[in-house]
Amino acid sequence: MMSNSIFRKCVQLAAPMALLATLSAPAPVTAQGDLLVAPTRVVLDGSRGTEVILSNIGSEEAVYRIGLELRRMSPTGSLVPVEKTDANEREDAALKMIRYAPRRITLPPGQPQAVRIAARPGADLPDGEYRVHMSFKAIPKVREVTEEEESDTNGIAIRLIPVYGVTIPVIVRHGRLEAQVAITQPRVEKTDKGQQLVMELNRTGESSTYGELRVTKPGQSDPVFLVRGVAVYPELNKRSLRLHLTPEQAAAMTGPLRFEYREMPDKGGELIAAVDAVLGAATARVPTAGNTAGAAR
Amino acid sequence: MKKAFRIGATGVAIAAAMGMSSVAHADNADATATAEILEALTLDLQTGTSLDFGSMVVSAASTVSLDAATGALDCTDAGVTCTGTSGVPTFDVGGTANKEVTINLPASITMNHTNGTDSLSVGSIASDGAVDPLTGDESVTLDAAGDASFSVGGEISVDENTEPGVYTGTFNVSVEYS
Repeated sequence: MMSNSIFRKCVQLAAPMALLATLSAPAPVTAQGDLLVAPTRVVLDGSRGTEVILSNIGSEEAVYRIGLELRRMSPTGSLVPVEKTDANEREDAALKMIRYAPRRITLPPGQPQAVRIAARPGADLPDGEYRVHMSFKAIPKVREVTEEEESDTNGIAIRLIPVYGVTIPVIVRHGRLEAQVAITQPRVEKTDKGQQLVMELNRTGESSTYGELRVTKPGQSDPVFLVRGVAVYPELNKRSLRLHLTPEQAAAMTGPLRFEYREMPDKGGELIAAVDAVLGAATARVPTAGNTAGAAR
Repeated sequence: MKKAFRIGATGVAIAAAMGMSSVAHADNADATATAEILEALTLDLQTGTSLDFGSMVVSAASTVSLDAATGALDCTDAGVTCTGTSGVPTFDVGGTANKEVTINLPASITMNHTNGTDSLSVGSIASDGAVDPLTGDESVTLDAAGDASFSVGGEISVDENTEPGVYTGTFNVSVEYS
């Protein structure tokens, strides 16, 4: 449950993992397979590998399977699964160059373990950004159908077990890559689900971008609106952002505004793109002025 | 916002209690220890929740559905009687504040009868997250504390020829971080 800990923390030692104290005595009926993964994205540039921590935050022992999967970002920002048989050349190359271990981990409750990841790009690999999505999934325990359930032959009984997990992007940047983003057409649209802030992020270059979108009013340092972790992947030249606004946020989204797309604060917060626009109250107007900034990486 | 600490310490035995570690704690253990704060992502299934249609007795072609948003079972078709408890699974996501994450669910789930021959399909699988009007893609946005929850519902069509008994199946729920 999320409520039992405001800050989940896990500790991973460079020294032997066995030194960690483990929690025991799981509760009898609890969710099995709950998990924590950190960090939430991996960028590899060069041959040096890294680690991702997987921790069992459930209250029962669980078996986790770690795998590589493919996703493509849709123009609306969703990550759509792609079968490996449908992989393009770049995705194929990404799958082949990424090494990771272990692939299956059994963890008692409260226990973390590191998954090592490294990229081994071939010597003749063309420059570019290569990406897979690493999945962490709990394998459900098989429970036998009890005789009591079996004997209930009059009706239909259904038992569905969710196999749940998360994926995080693993990005390999090979060579010197750049990307530029321009923000266009910020506007507020009324929909049947309330007001939404809509804009397009136009990306050029070989690299993806990742950061936060801040909307500020002139003379105010605190943003009137902020979304974090906005990615635009290289398969997209244009991503539309559609962000739900609370009535208070929608009310603040009028007049002269500055829209900034910046690197995440822990990566330096460098400006990737910005545009100044004047928004109307009810319907959106075309922005009056605009400028863009490039982000070299 | 969920954080994890990565602590590098050489040759030092740290019996770290999970849950309340801190940078200061690491410093006490070893003056040369360094800590790196990592963004963490958590997914957990709320205890005791599951995609459960209860039990059904069928006399004619009918559809039974579970609403993801309310958890309510719609068993109003004349040809079916529902008994027992029903409900939907609720997942808690924790991560980066104000971030949108994609939820991927299967289009359908095939369940097999314990006799090994009959099967039954669950369709219209959907979460109560936001749905993109153009693509139908589902997502949730983490709040200012980095938390979000979503539930999953679905629909079963049965008729008088559906073999009585227990059907089992698994289905994938994937939270995609960009």
